[in-house]
Amino acid sequence: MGSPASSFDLLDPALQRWVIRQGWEELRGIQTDAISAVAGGPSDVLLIASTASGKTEAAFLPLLSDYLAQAQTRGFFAIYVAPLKALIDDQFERLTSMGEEFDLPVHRSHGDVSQSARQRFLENPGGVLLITPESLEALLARRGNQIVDFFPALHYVVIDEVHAFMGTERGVQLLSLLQRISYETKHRARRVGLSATVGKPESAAMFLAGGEPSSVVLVQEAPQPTRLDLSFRTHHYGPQEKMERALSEIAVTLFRDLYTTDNLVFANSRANVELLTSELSGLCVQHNLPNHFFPHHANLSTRSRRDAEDELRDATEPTTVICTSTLELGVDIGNVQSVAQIGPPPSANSLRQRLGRSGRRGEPAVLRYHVPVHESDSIDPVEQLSLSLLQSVASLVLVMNHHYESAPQNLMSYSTLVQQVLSFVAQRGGATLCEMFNVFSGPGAFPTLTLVDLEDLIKGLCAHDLLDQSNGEFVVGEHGERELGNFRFYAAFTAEPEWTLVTVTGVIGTFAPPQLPRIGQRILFGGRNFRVRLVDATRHRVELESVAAGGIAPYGGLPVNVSTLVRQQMLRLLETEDSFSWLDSSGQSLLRRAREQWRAAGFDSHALREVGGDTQYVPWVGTACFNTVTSLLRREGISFRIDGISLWFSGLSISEVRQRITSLLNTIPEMSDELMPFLDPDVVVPEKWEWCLPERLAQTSQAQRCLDLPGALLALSSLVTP
Amino acid sequence: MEKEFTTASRIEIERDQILTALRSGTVPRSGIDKIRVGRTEEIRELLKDSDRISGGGASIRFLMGEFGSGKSFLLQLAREVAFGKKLIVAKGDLTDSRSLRTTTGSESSIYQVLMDSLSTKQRPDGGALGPILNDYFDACAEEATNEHVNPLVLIEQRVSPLKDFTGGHDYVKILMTYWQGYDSGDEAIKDAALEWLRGSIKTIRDARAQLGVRSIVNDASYFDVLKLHARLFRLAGYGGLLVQIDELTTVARLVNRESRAKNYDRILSFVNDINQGLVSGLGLQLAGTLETLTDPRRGLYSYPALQSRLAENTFAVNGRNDLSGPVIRLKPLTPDEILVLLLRIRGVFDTGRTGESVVPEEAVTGFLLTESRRVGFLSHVTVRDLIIRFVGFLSIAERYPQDSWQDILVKAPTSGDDASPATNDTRRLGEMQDGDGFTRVEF
Repeated sequence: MGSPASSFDLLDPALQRWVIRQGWEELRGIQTDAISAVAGGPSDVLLIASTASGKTEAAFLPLLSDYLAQAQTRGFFAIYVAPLKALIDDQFERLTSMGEEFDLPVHRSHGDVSQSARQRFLENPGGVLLITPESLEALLARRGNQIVDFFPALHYVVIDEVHAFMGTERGVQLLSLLQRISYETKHRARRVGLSATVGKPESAAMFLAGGEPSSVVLVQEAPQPTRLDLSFRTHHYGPQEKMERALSEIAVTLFRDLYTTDNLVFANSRANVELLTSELSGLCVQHNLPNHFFPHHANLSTRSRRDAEDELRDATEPTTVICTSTLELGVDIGNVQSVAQIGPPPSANSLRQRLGRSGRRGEPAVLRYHVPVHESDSIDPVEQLSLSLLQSVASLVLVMNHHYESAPQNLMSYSTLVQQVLSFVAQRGGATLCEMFNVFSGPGAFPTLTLVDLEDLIKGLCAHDLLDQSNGEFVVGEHGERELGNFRFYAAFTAEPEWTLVTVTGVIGTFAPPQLPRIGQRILFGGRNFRVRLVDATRHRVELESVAAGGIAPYGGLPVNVSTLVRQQMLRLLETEDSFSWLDSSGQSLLRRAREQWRAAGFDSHALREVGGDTQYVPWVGTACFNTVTSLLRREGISFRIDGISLWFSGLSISEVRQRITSLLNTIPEMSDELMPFLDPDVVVPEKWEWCLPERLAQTSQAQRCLDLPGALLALSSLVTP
Repeated sequence: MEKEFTTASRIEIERDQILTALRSGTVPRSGIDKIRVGRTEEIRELLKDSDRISGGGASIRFLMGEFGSGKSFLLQLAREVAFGKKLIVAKGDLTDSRSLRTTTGSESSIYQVLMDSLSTKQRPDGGALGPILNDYFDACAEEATNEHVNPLVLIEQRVSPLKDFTGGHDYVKILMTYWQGYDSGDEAIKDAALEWLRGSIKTIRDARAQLGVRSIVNDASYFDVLKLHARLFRLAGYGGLLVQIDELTTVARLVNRESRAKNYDRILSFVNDINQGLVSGLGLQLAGTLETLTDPRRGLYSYPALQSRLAENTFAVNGRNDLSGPVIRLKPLTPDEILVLLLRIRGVFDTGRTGESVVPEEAVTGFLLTESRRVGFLSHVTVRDLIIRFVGFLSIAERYPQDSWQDILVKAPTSGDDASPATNDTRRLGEMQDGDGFTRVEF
C-alpha cells in the first residue's frame, strides 16, 4: 500500500492545502491506503475499520480529489447511502463543512428532510447526495424520467455500514436500486464500501461487488487488540419462579452501578426492555432521584427514540438507555461508559457490535454481562445444563476468538423482487419482460433469477391486479397504484403491524397486540404503566391513561434464533475443561455442574442416549438447521417429540434410530423447497410481499430463510457414521 | 474631601470587595494577587509585553482558553501588571451588536466602549481620558510658565510630531481645540473635542460645524486613532496604552461569512501593523475560547493569512509551553492548583478573624471531594462555579459556627443551573462504589 507521503501527493493540490490547514500532521493508515486504492484503479474498494477511525474522511478524500480534477457536469457526482437517517444527518454536517471549501454541493434526502431542501437538489442535481435506500427508491419510482438528469455523471456510490446491509432485504433492495441506475445510465459507478470490523471480509466484498469478490480492493485497518473490562454475573431464579424475579435483582445492581454514568443496556426483547426500564425508574422514584433510565425499541414513537438518543448525547446529564438491537448500529451517540448485556445475545456478531459501543478514546470497552439462569428441577439432565449461561459464555468465547457467524450468501429475496418490479414499472411507465430480466438478473441483487421464475412472478402480480398487461408491456395495475401511493411501499421490509398508542401527550408508539386490546387492560410501555381507556378498532387506535403500576408488556414473542456456531460452541464448553477467570463464582459452579451432568448423562459421542426404551438426541445445531432436521424427520415419517433442544424418539433404540436415519439419507430431497410442507408454520415469518407470490416461489423464498438443508444433512450423516 | 481609612478598615473593605466579586462569579477589581494561583509563566510573558510597550515598542497577544478557565482573571491580572508599568488600560467586550468592524449601519464599534473604559491606577473606573488630558496640559502649562513661554506654543511643539502619522493632522487640531477650551473655560468647545476623541461625533458635518475638521473617528479610522492615543499618552509621561478586547468568540459566531471575514481582516491589520514596527507604545490583548481559534470553518485559523501569522509552535505540547508566539493557550487549573486557590480564598475569608480559621483544611479538601462526585464534574463544572459555591459554603460555616462542616456539606443546596440530585444523595451513591468484580481481558 502507499506510504503516507506518496498518497498525499496523489491528492488534488487544493485538497492537499485543505488537509494541511486542518492541522493534521499526517494521514492515518486507513486514509493513506484508501487514497492509493481509489487512485490505483477502477475497481470497487472496501474499507474495513472501527468507528472513529477516520473512515469517512478516508472515503471522501480520494473522492473529492477526483471531483476537483473533473470538469463539472450536470448530475450527481457521488451518492452516499446509509441505513439510518441520523447517520445521514451526522455525515451531512461533516461533509457540508468540507464541501464549502471546494464548491461541492452536498444534499441529503430522507423521510425527515423538508420538501424545500429536496426541491433544491431536484432542480439542480450535482455534487454529493446523502440518502437512505427508501428515499432512493422513492426517487427512482416517482421521478423515473429524471434519472438521466440525476445520474449521468455518477462516478461513485459510497455505501456506509455495509455489514448492516449484507444478508438483509434492505441490502438486496439497495443492490437492485444501483442496478436500475446503471441500466438507465448505461454505466456502472464505482462502489466504495465502509464496514465495521466484524465477520468475514469476503462476504462484505461479495455483497459490494455483486458477486465478484476478487475484484474488490480490500483496505483493512491493522487490527487492534480489543481491551475489555468484563464483569459476568449470574442471577438465579427458582424452578417455580419467573424470570421477572431475576430481572428485578439485576435492576437493583444496574441501578447502583449505572446511575451516575452514560450506558447502554441490551435487554434482547421489547418485553424485557419494558420490564427493566420500569424497575429502574421505579428505583429512582424510591430513592427520590431524577430518572436517568430510558427505553428504546422499534415500537416506541420516533420522537421518544430521538429523545433517548439526545439524552445520551447530552454530556451534562448521565443517561442509561435500555434497548433491543435498535442501538447496536452506528448512530453517533458517542461512546458510552459501559454496555450491559442481559442474557445471551442474538449472535456472536451482535455481541461484538454491542461491545464496540463502549470505551471512550483510548480506554478499554466495558461489558457488564448479567445472565438470568433458571434452576430446573426436571429429571432430564439436558434441562439442568443452564443453557442460558452456556449460550452466554459461548457467545463471549466466540467473540474473544474472533469467530463470527457468516452472513447468508446468495439470498434470493423474491419478496424484494416484487417491490422492485413494481417500482421499476412505475419508474419507466411500463416495461417488457425482457427489459425486466435484463435489469434484474445476473450477479448482484438477484443472482439466481431465471427467466421462468420472473415470468411466474409477474403472472402472479397480474393475478392480483398489481400489474396489468397492455401491448406487450406491463404497466402498474389498479391495486399496484394503491400500493405505490402508500409511503410504506418504499421500505423493503415489513413494517410492524400496528395499533397506535396515544396518551394525553400525544402518540407514544405502536404495538401489535396478540389479541384485540380490552378496556381496562394494563400495559407497560415506554417504561411507564398505563390502563387502556378507549379502543378504536376502525382507526386502530388505543387511548391510554397513566396508572401507578401493574402493566404487562404487550409483546408476543418472535421466534428467537440461535446459530449453529453458538450451539456448537456450547457443546465444546461441555466437553472441555476450559475455565474462565472472568466468570463469577456462581457461574463457575454452574458450569462445573453442567459438565458433570453432561458426562453423567451418558450421551455417546454423537449426542445420543437411550433412556428407558426411548432415545434422546441433542443435535447442538442452530434454529434453522434444527427445523430442517425435524422437517426431514416428518417427511420420512419418523415420529419424535421436541423438548427444548432435545429430540425424543419414543420406543426406538439408538440402533433403530440410526437405521431409520440411514434410510432417510437415501431419499433426501434435492431442494429444501420440498420440505416446506413439513415445516411447522409458526416458525415462518412472512416477508412483505410473499402474499402475492406464486406458491412455488413463496415456498422457495421461505425455505431459503428458514431451512438449512446442508447443515441438517451434515448433522444427520454424522449420526450414522461410526 | 478624603475620608481617612485606617489600615484595618481598608483591609476589610478590600476583603468584602473580593468576596462580593467572587460570590457573583466575577473577577475582583483589586487584591487579586491574594487569590492568584499558578499562571506564573503567563504573567512573566505579560510582564515582558508591558515592558516592551512602555519601552516604546508594541505587542499583540491572543489569550485563548476554555469557558471558565480564567481568561477574564488573566485579563484582570494583565491589567494590574500594566498599571504597574504605568500603562493606561482600555477594555471592552465584543457583543452581537458590537464588533471590530461595522458592516451594517446598526452596529457600534468597540472603540467607544474602549474609550469609556480608559483607566489608570489612580482612576481605575474608566472615564480617564479627560483627566489625563487635563493633567498633561496642566503640566505643560506649568512648564511653560517656568520657561516664560506661551503654553499654546509649548503644547503645539510637543504634539506636532503626531501630525506625521495617519490621521495625525486632525488629531492634533482636536487636541489644540481641547486646550483652547480648557484654558479659556469654554466648556462647550472642550467637550466637543473630547466627544470627537471618544468617537461620539457621528457625522463629518457635525465635526466640521463644531470643530472645523473634516474627519471623524469611525470604523475605518479608529485603529489609527488608537495608535495616536498611545503616542500621546507616552508624551504625557505614561508608558503607553494597553487595549484589552474580550469575547472574541462573538466574531467566530457571526453567521454572515462576509462580516466574519471583514472582522478577521481587521485583526490581521492589527497583527501586521504591530509586527511591522509601525506602532509605538500600544499593546493589544484579545481573549476568547479555544474554539474561536481552532474551529476549522469559522475560527481564526480558518482565515489563512491569520493562521500563518498566529502559528503556534507545534513542538509545544505535552506540557511544554512556548509563549513566544502571539497565542497563549490557557491550560485549565490542575486539581492541586484548584486546592491552593480555595485555600487562598479561605485565607481572604479569614481576614480580620482572630483565632481559628472559619473551617479547617480538611473541610476544603472535603468540599472538593464532594464537588468531584457531582454528576458532570469533569465536563461541566467550571472554576467559577466552584468558587461561587465555595464562598457560599464558607459563609454558611461562618454564620452557623455550631454546625460541623461535614453537616453543612451534606445539606448544601445545589446551585440552580443543573438539575443534578442533591449533594447528599450523590454522595451516598458515590459511597456505594462499583469497580470491583471486573476482569481485564485482551483479544
